Amino acid sequence: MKRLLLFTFLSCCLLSFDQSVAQTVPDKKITMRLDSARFNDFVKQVESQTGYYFYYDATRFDSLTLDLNVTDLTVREVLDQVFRGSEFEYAIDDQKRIFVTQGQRIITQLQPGLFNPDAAIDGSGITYEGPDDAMKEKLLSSAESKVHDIGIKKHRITPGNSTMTGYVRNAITGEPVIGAAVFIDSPSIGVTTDALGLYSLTIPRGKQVVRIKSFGMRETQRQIVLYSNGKLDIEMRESVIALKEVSVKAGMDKNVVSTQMGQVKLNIKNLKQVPTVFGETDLLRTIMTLPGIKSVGENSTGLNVRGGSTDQNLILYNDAVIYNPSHLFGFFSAFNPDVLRDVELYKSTIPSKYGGRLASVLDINSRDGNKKKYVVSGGIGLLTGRLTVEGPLVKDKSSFLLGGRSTYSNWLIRALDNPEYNKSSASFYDVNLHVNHEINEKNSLFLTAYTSDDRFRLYGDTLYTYQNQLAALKWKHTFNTKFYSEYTVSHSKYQYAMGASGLPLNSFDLKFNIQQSNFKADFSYVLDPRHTLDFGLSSIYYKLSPGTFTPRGSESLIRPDELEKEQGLESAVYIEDKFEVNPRLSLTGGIRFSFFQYLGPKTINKYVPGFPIDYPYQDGTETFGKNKKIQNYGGPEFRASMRYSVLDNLSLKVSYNTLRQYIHLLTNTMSVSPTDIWKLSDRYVKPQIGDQVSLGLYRNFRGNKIEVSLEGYYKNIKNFLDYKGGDSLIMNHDIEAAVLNTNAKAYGIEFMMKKMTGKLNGWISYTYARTLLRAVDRESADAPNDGNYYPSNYDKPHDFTMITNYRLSHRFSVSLNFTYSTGRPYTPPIGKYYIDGAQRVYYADRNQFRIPDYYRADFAMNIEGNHKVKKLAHSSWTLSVYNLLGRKNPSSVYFQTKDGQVNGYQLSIFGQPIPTITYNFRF
Amino acid sequence: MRDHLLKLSFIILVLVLNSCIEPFSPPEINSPDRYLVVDGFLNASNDTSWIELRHSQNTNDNATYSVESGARLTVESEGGSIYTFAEYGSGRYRLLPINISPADKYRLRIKRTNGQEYLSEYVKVSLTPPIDSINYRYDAGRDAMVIQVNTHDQTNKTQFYRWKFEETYQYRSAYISSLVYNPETKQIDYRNEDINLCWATKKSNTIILGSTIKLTSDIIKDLPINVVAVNTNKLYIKYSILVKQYGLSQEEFEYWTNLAKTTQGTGSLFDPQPSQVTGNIKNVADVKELVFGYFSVSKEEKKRIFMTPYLGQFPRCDPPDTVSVGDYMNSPAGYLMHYHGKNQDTLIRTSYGCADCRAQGGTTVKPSFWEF
Repeated sequence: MKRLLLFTFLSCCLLSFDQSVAQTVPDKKITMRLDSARFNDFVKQVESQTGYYFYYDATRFDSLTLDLNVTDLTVREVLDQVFRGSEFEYAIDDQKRIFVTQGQRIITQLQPGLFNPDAAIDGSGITYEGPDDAMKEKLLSSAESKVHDIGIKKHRITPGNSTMTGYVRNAITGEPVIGAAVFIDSPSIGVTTDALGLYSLTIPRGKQVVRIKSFGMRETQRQIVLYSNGKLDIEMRESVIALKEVSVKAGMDKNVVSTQMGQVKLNIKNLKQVPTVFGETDLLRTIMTLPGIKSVGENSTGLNVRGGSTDQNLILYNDAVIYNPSHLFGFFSAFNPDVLRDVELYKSTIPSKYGGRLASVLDINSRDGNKKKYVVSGGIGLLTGRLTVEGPLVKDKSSFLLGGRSTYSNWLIRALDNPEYNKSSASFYDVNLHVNHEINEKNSLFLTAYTSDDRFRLYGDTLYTYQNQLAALKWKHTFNTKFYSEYTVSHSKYQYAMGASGLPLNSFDLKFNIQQSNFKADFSYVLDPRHTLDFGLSSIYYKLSPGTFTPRGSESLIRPDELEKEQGLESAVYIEDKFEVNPRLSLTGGIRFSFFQYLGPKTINKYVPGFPIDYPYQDGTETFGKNKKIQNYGGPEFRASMRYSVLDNLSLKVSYNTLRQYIHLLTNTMSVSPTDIWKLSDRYVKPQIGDQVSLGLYRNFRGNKIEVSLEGYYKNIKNFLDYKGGDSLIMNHDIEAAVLNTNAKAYGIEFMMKKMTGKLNGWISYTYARTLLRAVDRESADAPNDGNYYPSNYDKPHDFTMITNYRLSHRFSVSLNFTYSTGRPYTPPIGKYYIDGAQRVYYADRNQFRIPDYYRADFAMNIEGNHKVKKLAHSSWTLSVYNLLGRKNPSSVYFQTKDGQVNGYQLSIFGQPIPTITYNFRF
Repeated sequence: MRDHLLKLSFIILVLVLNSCIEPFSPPEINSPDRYLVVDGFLNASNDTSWIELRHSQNTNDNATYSVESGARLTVESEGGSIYTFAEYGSGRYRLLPINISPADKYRLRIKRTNGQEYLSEYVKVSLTPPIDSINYRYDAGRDAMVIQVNTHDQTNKTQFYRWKFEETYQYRSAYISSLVYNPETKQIDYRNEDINLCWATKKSNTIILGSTIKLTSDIIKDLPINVVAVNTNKLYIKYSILVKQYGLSQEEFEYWTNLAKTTQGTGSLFDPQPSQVTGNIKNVADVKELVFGYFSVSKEEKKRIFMTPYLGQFPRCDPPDTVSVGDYMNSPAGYLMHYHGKNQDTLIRTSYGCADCRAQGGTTVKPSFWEF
């Protein structure tokens, strides 16, 4: 092995060769006629006719046959003819020795002056250049230096294209590398690996250098000789130094090359750089630093993407829906950073395979367990601890990943002096299990299970709990190298409960739950190198229990109440074509047809026709039996996008999307509260329909190191839900009378500059965005602001974020982040008056005033342990200070009436610098 | 209650996490702007119409509401008639009965002393059918008397209703004071007025609405308009209620519905979105200016009933004390009930609240409408 390495090293060292130094060739001519002769027959004949002697590796030629018909040609002419178009090279020295080598020619003469350093070098001599450092490193990997033969080996390669396929996998864990770019430079042809890590690359036959890039992985290459269609599996190594290559490499080429726009992919290493309030990597908070993504308040992980409400995001965890992506009412996100691989957010071009939500798709993927060895990793922070175990079930075939996270904040609350607080408690945990099994090359199975639990008790008498549970089973099947499929069944459940036991007479339990069962099948078919077809179908069955209100304890006088269950079936079929018109222009067009049925058993309210849907106009009920259709909705959704490369590193993208949403989160409070309820579209609550057009310019500078993007969008949303003044949504039997249908328009410009390599990395983003609503029925007395446009609750026009990370050494880095945004709108009481015998308070027009602007700076320091590969445990420390400036950012303002006076208060949740320290380990 | 708990819990959670709550008083909630409030309607039942003009004020201003004096109020009909209100002191304006044509439309014009002019929309005359009956029933579950109204409109035109009421009840103080100290003569005299029996009158302060829109005929049957809990003691001696009924247009009905919904609470963390309710009156020069109140032309229908269910209990009070006549003369305080002791040398004394029924807000003057 070592020798081989040395040989390849040497042969590659001798890179330049000057043909002019070749020896004079004797005049002996060769005449021969060979028909399917073996190479050693050819050698024997040449040797006997000329007196030259061949040196070659017989094993490399034993399978080769050649046909030859020459008369009176020199040795060089014959050899040129034989080896033309093949991977072999030959060299002849002055002692009539012929060296036949593969790939590199042997240099037969030493550099002049090598043994006489004083002799002047006249410049005409041979110069030997050693490979540069990067090259050396690559050469150390035998897979990279080796030449791989692909296909049925032939002596002569006919021109034309062939297809090579194979898997790209992580060399250490055996996990497929998804989205890796596999490409050749000249001509520029490239593909990315699919969800199985499979690629299929059609390139000209012959000698090629195939390069493979993926974020977080070391770039690698394979030297191949492509004879015909064949197979090559590629293993990639993770970048050894964790912080060195924190990059979004898939995005690096994608930014300019793909037709996708408004898509952001972050891997776990990006996420780890962003300081968070409790020191733990937080997926959703990092997402919020990206342009176009906002949140109502600091205590909320509800995302508002491009003017959409928090329920308009499809949050998928391994393809199963998560309804409440937060812990502790939004202080933590529900995803354990140790089990995540990456997250992709789509906000303008939403692929046809996704649907059901208007604003964005957040596709969160867990990583596969290590297929080669058992690994335990974890972290300990001030409030949370987490532990992950992973390892092979069947080596190289299947693996598991089990992660758990829990908080021990209870001790912190109990340690407080105030007896009122230390009767309170807050806790949560989540558990992830991910099992993957490769049945064979064409079939893989993936099983994901997730459960989370949150509990919060106030004064020891009111207990809030909520749980997310999901299970998903996915089967990936490859029909052939051009046709893949993926089948997923999943079940998600979200429930919350509130139990109050403070006063025995008034003790109650309030419960809500939603379940969905989902089946989908997705297919991808490579029609030809320029067309890729994606198509599939999906169906979701919803079952909701919108609320039960029951007495707690025997003394309670609470009257039990239950809202009737809701059922619905949402189905969709889609087809999408990716069309590479030419290397500069590519198009994607898709259509998705979605269909929703609101099903019985259910009794619905009727309203007097011609009058508003409001309590006074209720007129009886109508009852539907089990599975009877109460209301149908459906329609086509169009997805189109175009990319045009103006220059090599500058591209223009345009996209247009329509989406439909049949399930809505009802919340009329200023902030996201744990008692918000989900509601299916029914006869009165119409589906929300959104369409968006976006335009973007993307430019990469300095060899793709700096990415700059500028995107603009305009969006229309029909039947956006807002709420009439004064109605409670909890346990409301006539919910349709409390909602207000509005039409929304949202528009904005997003600028982002990202540098993910080098000592200094990070991103700067600025967004200008507006979201305005207007009642559909503008004449209605309930229409806010006289039926004119008014800002939504999360309309924050200016938003600036800077994330910077400076790597002082491989083991030590510092981060400084800054964020600014316009204050959120609110509706203050602005006066009072006396009419008809009572005092009334009046409010300003809806959302016409703003709370003070928000800004915050955070600082973090990461210290990595040493990088000895064989070390027992790898550890790192993170020290961070959240809200370094200690600004009291109002997260909410509210008003209370006391003694006839209306007093305003502002609530700052993190009103002072919050230092945290986290210890992470892995062994 | 639920919302309240939720709010509390949230704030506490936040406190645990080093949060802080500070007063928030931005300029917009302290705006000194005062807007016009128009309270009243044009009475279409051949009766005097009253309109009061007041101003709104800052939420933190606890002064009494200022009134708008010197304004010129006129009612104009589409038919061209103009009637002018006369000021009746402290922002009250009066219009003596006029002939209202039910087919005509009317609007209110207000000219303030500062020259600003306000105009309501033209409104139709809302006719009100008479109240058929008012009945009452005892609800054991609530331990309360429920007072219900019945009405109907044979033409099916009214459909939207609003009620107001004035309840008057007789009540007694716990103790009878038969003696009174005369500071001029420094003598104890017999009291010659009855401060033991009072009448209290209260107006409805909630917005009571009803509609027959979902019914095939315009009939209001047994609609509860007031619930009198037995423990209020209003029903112990004699109770009377005057119910006023108004027919409304749909617009006015929606105005009152929204007003009822939105002005109860104030915005807090988990409170619903507030919304603004103004009315149908606008500043001619600036339609954006806030003006509160809804001008309507309504016929008022009234009906009064009396009841004597004798529910409740005789008022109780702290036990009276005894004081010697000499001690009392030295410091004459409290209400005297009567002499005590063999020699009549001590006095039974109680407090103002226990002896004088007017302490609870009533009057000793019997109302003119009171039955015997």
